[in-house]
Amino acid sequence: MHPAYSVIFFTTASGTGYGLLGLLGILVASGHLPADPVLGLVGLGLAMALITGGLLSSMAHLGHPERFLRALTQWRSSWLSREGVASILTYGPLAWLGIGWVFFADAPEAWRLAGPIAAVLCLITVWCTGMIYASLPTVPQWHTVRTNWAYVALAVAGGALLLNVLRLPWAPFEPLFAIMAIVGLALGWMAKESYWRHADSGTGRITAESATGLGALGKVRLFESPHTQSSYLMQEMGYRLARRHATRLRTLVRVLLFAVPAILVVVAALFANAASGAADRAPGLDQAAAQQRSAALELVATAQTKEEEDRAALAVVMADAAESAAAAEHASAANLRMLGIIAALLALFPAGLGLIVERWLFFAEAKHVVTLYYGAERA
Amino acid sequence: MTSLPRQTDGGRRKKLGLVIDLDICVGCHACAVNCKEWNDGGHSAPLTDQEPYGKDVSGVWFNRIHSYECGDGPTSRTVHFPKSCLHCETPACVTVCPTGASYKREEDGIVLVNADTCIGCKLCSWACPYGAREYDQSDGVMKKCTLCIDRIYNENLEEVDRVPACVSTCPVSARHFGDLGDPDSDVSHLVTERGGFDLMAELGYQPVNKYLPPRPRKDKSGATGTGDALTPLAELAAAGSDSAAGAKGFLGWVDRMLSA
Ligand code: SF4
Ligand code: SF4
Repeated sequence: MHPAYSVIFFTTASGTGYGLLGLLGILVASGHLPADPVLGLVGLGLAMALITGGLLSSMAHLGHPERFLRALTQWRSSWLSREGVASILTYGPLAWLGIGWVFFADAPEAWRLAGPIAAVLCLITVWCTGMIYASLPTVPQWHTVRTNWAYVALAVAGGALLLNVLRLPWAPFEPLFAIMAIVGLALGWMAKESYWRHADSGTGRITAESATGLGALGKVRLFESPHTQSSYLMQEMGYRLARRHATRLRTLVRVLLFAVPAILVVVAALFANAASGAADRAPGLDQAAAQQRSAALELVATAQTKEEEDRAALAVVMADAAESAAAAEHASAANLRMLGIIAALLALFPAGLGLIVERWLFFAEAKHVVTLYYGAERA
Repeated sequence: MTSLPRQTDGGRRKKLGLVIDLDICVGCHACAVNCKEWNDGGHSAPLTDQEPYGKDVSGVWFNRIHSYECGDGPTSRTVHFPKSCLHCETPACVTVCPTGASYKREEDGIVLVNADTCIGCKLCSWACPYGAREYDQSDGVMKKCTLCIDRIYNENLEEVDRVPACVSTCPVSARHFGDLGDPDSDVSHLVTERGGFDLMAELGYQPVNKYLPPRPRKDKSGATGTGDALTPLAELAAAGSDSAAGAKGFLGWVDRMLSA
């Protein structure tokens, strides 16, 4: 199938946005996120930007974007329509959560309920996106519930990766967020491997013989195409991708989308953990340095003999050393925290690139049964 | 309305459609050309082309003729294979449509697109296994075979012309039009008698249009009622050399001398 950039951008950006919104909703409701207006503004703002940007980009794919409201009318039969309705309904709890989190941070019981509602609607929306593809028997690779699981798992993974970055500035370090990102990536990886296994094995049952109904005469081969030039059909459904590229691209997805981000999340967690440790130790060192300093000052003030003066001088040197040790601990806490944030941020880039490759491949690899009329042997 | 019309069990529904005889079609493309000609000014008009005079021509056709080679060796054969919308009984092209622009008519089963409400999301073309949906790149909407709805009900036309353009033009009458929901119609009889079949039946779209298979090959001269006149040349040559064996006179002497 032809991989349209607008659809790739839509499914990846919106998916990640719904993943982020859903996780924010659940975590703030369960008390795992501070009711901090800045976090609410940044987190929900990012989720909203991703969702809205994706939805707008999907409209670029339409022949008549100005008629898009009509697309909400056929929810009784069309998954595309259901997705549209669900995506718009999600804005309700998103706004409720956003207004509450940012403006009524001190009265969380009034808006926390919006979190789980948003999460459920996010799940429904992403499920519907997957269903648009999974419901098509004409593209056997997509026609499986594994398509839905992959969409959901990758939305969660993307959202968790973002949340891992967003949460870090709010010390102290909490392993929950790194664990969520790792679990999200692992689920995404598993879902994708299972989808690929299906794509390789579960298809190919529909043949040129059954497409033409001419199997009784023997093997069916295209003798003459209906047209000498290309057509909409061949551009849209006849997209060809060499097998060996697919294999390489899948490896690229495994590395960029799953392995490298997972490693970076672990590295970020180690840094953040060390930073928290240093930050925990620093106050103790501060206190010890202050005590040494006052003791030294007392010795200096009361020193009479040469011996006492020497002892006082030594005490001053030790007090200086203790102060610089405390300062170093503060600095190292700040540095380690910075390194943690950088590592967590860095994880986003390979993951984003990998996600785009993954989505491109999802389309490019899939084969439509209509190609059977144009010379393909099985689909 | 994107949901399908109710299936009235017991009560018979009209299912207008085509029966295409693969035994007869000669692959002349006349049906496709006349389809384009008629529909360019009809219900779905215009059927636009991209770069019509350039190098990469492409455009909208509702009807396209493929040709296949089937089998191997002396028994292999070429089959010309016209294909257009099959006006399926349970077409996903209709149910996936998010706007309701795509619909199946309750009264005769014809599947149509309303170009005024279509948003051009192309999903229906993904859902059709038969490649019968055509995206009009100039108009940004989906178009498709209408079964010439503007001919078959057109009271300004002579009664004999109230058939789809492809059917009216086929020079060898490989295409038949009628009500496949009526078991007593001519088309239904054709389907029963000739073993009409569905394309990709395993997908469950239940196409209304049926295809009649090519008849068994007649490769024995007796089976075609052919006389000696068509005895293969090789056989004649062999027979000729035999008769030389009985030749008389000088040539007979030469023949005998050489064969010895
Ligand atoms: S042939 Fe394709 S376009 Fe026509 S009704 Fe069937 S599924 Fe729809
Ligand atoms: S006009 Fe008739 S013979 Fe010619 S291609 Fe069409 S169906 Fe076949």
